[in-house]
Amino acid sequence: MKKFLILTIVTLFSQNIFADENLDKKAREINKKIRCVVCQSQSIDDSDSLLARDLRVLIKDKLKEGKNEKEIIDFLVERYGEFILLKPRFNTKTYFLWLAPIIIILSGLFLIKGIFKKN
Amino acid sequence: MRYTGLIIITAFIFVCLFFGLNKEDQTLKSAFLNKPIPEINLNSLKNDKLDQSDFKNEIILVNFFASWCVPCIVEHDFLFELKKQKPIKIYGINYKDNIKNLKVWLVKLGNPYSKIGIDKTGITGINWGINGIPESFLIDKNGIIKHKINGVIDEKQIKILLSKIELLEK
Repeated sequence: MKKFLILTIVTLFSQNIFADENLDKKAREINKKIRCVVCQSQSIDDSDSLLARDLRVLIKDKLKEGKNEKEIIDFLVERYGEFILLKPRFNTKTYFLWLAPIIIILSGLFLIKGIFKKN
Repeated sequence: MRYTGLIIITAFIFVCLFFGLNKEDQTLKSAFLNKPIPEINLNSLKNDKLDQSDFKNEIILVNFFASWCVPCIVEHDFLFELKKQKPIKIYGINYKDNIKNLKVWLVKLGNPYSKIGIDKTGITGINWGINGIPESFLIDKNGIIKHKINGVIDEKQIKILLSKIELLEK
């Protein structure tokens, strides 16, 4: 009976540790995608600013509440705009940002092709 | 004629950079501009509440501040100056502060706030999308955010605020 009790406690304890580890891992994955709006070139995972720390706590709390990554990111974008994402999403506000390099490269290629043709 | 395409592309990039980098207002806009105020439900310094019901039928300035914030000391006098020029309600949101220090601070510098909400955890700050303190939001009579000030309210910002308030009063 005593052995069974110890085994149960150990099992429950280790389950909690694994659950916490998974939560931490997931939280860090999200943290790496969120810009530290105070430091700007860092993610909140790298930053030690007051706001970055608060956002890390908030993300972990939201995961504990059962929210998924999309819901958490939507929550932050609603408050801070797309700027809070280190990798902005592809939408009507950002399509030029994403497509401009491709357009410029393609235009360059056509230009080079034209020059070679003429020569 | 051979390089017309190249010239057009280069000119386009330069025009984009010129206008992008010379934009007068480089500050971050609030995601809540022209939207209703975000969730707020705080205990106030006088042990009542500061919540959504406090934002009705009045133009209000919400100012995030703390006694540990040095720029807030500079701003404090300008809040009095603003009230002198336009007696609007200013709600303070005390961000992650020590209440004892806050009370001492208010006695020392004066209290320009009609109400002070206590944001001990900083969650209201995040809900309002603040980047740091001081930061202020101008709210119209319908509870819509019309203007955001990142940083200290100074003489220049008071002029901008007064013109915005005048427009909202029309």
